[in-house]
Amino acid sequence: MASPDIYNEATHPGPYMLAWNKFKSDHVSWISFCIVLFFVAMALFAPLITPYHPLAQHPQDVLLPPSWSSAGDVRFILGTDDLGRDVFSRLVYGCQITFGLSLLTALAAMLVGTALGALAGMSKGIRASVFNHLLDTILSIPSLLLAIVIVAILGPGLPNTIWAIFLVLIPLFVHRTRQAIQTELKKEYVTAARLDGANNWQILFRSIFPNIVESIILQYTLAVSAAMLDIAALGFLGLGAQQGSPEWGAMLVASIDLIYRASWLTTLPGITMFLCLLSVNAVGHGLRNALKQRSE
Amino acid sequence: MLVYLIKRVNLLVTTLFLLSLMSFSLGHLFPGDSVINFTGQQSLTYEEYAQLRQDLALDESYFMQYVVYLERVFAGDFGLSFSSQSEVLRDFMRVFPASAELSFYALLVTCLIGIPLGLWAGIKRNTLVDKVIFSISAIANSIPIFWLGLLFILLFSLNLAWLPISGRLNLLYDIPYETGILLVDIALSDFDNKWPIYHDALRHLILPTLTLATLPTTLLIGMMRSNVISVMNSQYIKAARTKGLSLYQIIRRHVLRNALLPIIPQFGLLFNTLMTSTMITEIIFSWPGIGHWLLEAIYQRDYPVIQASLLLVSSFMIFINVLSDVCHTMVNPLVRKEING
Amino acid sequence: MMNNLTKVWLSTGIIIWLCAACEQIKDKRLKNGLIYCSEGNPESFNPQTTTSRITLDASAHQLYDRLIEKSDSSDQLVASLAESWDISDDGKTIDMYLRKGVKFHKTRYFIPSREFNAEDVIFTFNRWRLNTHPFYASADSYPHMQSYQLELLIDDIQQVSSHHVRFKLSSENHDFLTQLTTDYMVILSAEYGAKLALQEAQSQLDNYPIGTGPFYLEDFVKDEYIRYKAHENYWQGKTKIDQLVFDITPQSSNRLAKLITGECDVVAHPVASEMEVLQDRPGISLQSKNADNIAFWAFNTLKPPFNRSEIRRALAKAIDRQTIYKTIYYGMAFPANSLLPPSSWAYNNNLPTITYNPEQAKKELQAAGIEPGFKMQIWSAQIEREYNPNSLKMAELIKANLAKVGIVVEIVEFEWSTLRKKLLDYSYDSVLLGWTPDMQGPDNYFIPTLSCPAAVIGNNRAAWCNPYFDNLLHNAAASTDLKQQKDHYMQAQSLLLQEMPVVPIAHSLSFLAKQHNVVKVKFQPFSAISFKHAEKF
Repeated sequence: MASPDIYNEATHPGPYMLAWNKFKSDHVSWISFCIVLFFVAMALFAPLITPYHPLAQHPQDVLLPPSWSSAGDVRFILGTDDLGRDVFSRLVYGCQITFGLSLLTALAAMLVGTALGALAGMSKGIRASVFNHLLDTILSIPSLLLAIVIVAILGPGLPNTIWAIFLVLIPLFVHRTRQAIQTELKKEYVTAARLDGANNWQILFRSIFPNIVESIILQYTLAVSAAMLDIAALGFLGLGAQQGSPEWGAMLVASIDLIYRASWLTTLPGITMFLCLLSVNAVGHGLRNALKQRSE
Repeated sequence: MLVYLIKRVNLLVTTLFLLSLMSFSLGHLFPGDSVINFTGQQSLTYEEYAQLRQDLALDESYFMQYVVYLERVFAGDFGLSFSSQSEVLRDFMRVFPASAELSFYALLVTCLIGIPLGLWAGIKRNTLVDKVIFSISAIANSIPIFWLGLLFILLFSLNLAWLPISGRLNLLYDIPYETGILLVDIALSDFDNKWPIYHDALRHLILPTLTLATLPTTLLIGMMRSNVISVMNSQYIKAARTKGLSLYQIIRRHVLRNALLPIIPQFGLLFNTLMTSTMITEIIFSWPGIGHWLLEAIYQRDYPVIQASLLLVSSFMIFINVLSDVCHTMVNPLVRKEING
Repeated sequence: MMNNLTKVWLSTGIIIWLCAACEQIKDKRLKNGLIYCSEGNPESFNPQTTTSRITLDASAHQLYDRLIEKSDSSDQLVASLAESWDISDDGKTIDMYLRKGVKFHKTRYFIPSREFNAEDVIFTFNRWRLNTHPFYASADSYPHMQSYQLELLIDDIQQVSSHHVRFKLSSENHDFLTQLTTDYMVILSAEYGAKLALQEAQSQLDNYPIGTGPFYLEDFVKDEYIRYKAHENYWQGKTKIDQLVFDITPQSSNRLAKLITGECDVVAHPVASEMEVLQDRPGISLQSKNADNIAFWAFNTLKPPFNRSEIRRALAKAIDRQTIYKTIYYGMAFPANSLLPPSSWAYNNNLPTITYNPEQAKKELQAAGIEPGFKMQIWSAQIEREYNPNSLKMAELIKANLAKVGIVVEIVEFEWSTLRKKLLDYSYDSVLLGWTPDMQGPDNYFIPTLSCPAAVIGNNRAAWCNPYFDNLLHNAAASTDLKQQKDHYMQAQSLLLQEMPVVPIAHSLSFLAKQHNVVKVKFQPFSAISFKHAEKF
């Protein structure tokens, strides 16, 4: 019985597949990846999951503890805050803001930053040197400080925070892409392609990009966690999301006044945020490991 | 070597130039009148206003304005703070040592904890020890610093009542300002029986230092661990082992030094993380430093302060970055060879 | 081997930390000083120039004395810098006989060469009374005096001898002596003024204060602390504590935490939400004050459409005040219908209550031409006031209420002193503020907050000027018949409810929390806090 499967052993997984398999074989990374997907789903389907609107006030049910405690109420799984807003709904919508917006902001920054980085990486001479200096300048300012200054110019508020973080993230991608491209440019396969008569663009898109995509994705996971931290930190400092917004940092700062009376208002957003950051970081770490193992 | 130094200095100068340009443009970007934004003078008569406008060359080209701005910066004139109406530079000099002191202790703690743990994890690679250290540092790395600060306060101050939560010292100790570095100032002050004062200062230091040190420590552990692993895999270690050196000797003579070297240029990054965290830590623990000062300025829309602190803090950061880079070249023969060769 | 090395490192580190962590060492020096955690930065150190309670707290009773004081227990007037006084039969001439041997503060910026005398009194009053005075222009306004129009009431002040001054009033005013006891009537040093005038440093008069009070100002670092030292030669004898520190802690949760960890001896305005925690806590005691203040939501009546009273009335109906009492005040407040608290003798019992009725409000708004989707701003400060523990949260509640009647609210938050500065431009739509009275009597609820003179100097947050209302107040003050007075005040209150320049929200109980070992902190209605007699065991 000749079976077509006979040659199956000979099929080699592609480099992406290889990395993916490596990634999946690491339990921690795989679990974190699932958690990240869970958070993404929460952000996407927030209106479907949540029983209430995040700003809906229930004056009759103020400061209810989570439902598992004796004073809790099943209608409000994770309790309510001091204006009677459902904590669970707020956390889920907060996921949309803190995590969802971080994903999008980082994505936008990645697109812009990579494009600029490619330009910078392929150019030489004075233009490149000026560009590098500019980049070094921006990278040397702590990102939060830069974001704070941008917010100070634009005025506090969530949209301005997002703009600020977007601007702050771009140089990271530019830097990473430029470095990656310059390492690749020195390699022999690029020289080979050049000898074949490929022009700069062809080299960039056909040869180099496939080789640096992974390191950009790696940078993306870092950027997402940095964006989350910055959004929440600015919310915490009262410069980002407006008071009352379900953004996690803003929820944390609003809870401080009630830290004795309603400690769940401090712990729950903190834990959620910690879990989200941890899983994003773990995915990044797993990715890096997988890439490293593949290259070994 | 000289060429290298010139290159670095060149980088420093251009970066500072760009920064000053940015800071200058802030004066125009901030809402409100630029004369007031640049000088911070609030109650001006019409004549004074016209005079200042002329002094700042605001009716001339942007280039001339920038030149005037630079002159003022070099003369140390950053204008007046809107809210306190005192000189911005003087306020800066008052708060800066507090931040520097806190950052320094945090850096110390980072090194004291990060280096040994990173070394240990690297040597015991893939054992239980490594995994435990790695997991703890990964977890600590993901805790948002403001939440960590709150948890510390909740646990150590409010529940256990061990440690104070705000400030640098009990305010009833009236330590005169000399250097701004509190522990030094206490030594210089003419109080008798200084031990209780030191003790009080140390108690105030613990929580902010730990909060601030957490993130850089996890970073340092990671760097140290991977450096140790790569050193341990290198040929000369294998050679040393075959020569019969004990593990302890190898670590002391070879691993530690070679693993520490590549960390020096990373100090810029560590410092960057530290600076960012300082701002939040200072707010949580009411530490009267740069971050506290800057954020109050933002709440109060105090533009001259924001403008000046951006310039001063970033210049300081760049300086540290370049310095750590140069230091690295000085001590690391490999890099030196690369540059000269 | 390695393990041991690491262990040594680790354990040394841990031991160092733990050593430092152990209990605070008892130090006698800490017994002689007191830390009061206050809620914000004072604007200056001269009560004449402001009505901000933070400034009053930081200056009025710590740094200065008045000519006359109120007694602590009753409403009687007590001699202070004036030993005695005579009032002429027509009530228009008042003779003050001043105390001798009263010394001014000796500080690093001023050393007095003489004791208190009549010149100081004349300097102090002329400073705000005469716009030709060299120091008149160094402050923006003198809100309290100007809203009561005291500069018109006092015709002249004469020096009869070195310790005898004579006040000439333009008309009889039975409140004049009570006015002299208010926080604003502090006595400054003429000698210091002369010195500053010579240096052309007039603005320093209010920022580097010199007075005769129990403490002198040692140091003020913005956003950090104010340090006072005991005045060695205080005429009532040196205070029990050597040092007084105001630790500026804007966040109320922080103040509470610092009280619990013992970093503060006394804290201002503990949050209503945490009151239960404090009540059960050993070692901490609470002092309370009557609910004599008023929190209100002021509309900028200069700005359309808030210049129309029907819209203001409709907005008042759209607010669910019951929820506000429950969630903002945690039951520590009384509903307000008028600016006057119900305990006042002039309170109008017949006022209709403002009821929550969103449907009605919506109809009225539409009738007045306000379409759904109308946008308005509410300004509020990130600070607890006696009358409002959390105005940001209150703004959020109002925002949710107004959303139900189709109005979109933008909450604009400011730091306290920035808010006060920005309010002077009258560019806001509405603002959440309040008033704590500093004098007894119904007058004080209306004149500084809603009269025409107050609108001119910017203390009237509604910018509302109604001559009929001012007339009612004037008549009430001029009349001697209690029933007639009450009648005028009742009319004024109905007028307010009709016109609704501000929506009265609540009269809040206010508290002071302190450690058990601190006693005799004066925390009373109608005056700023005083540490003159405070002791610490």
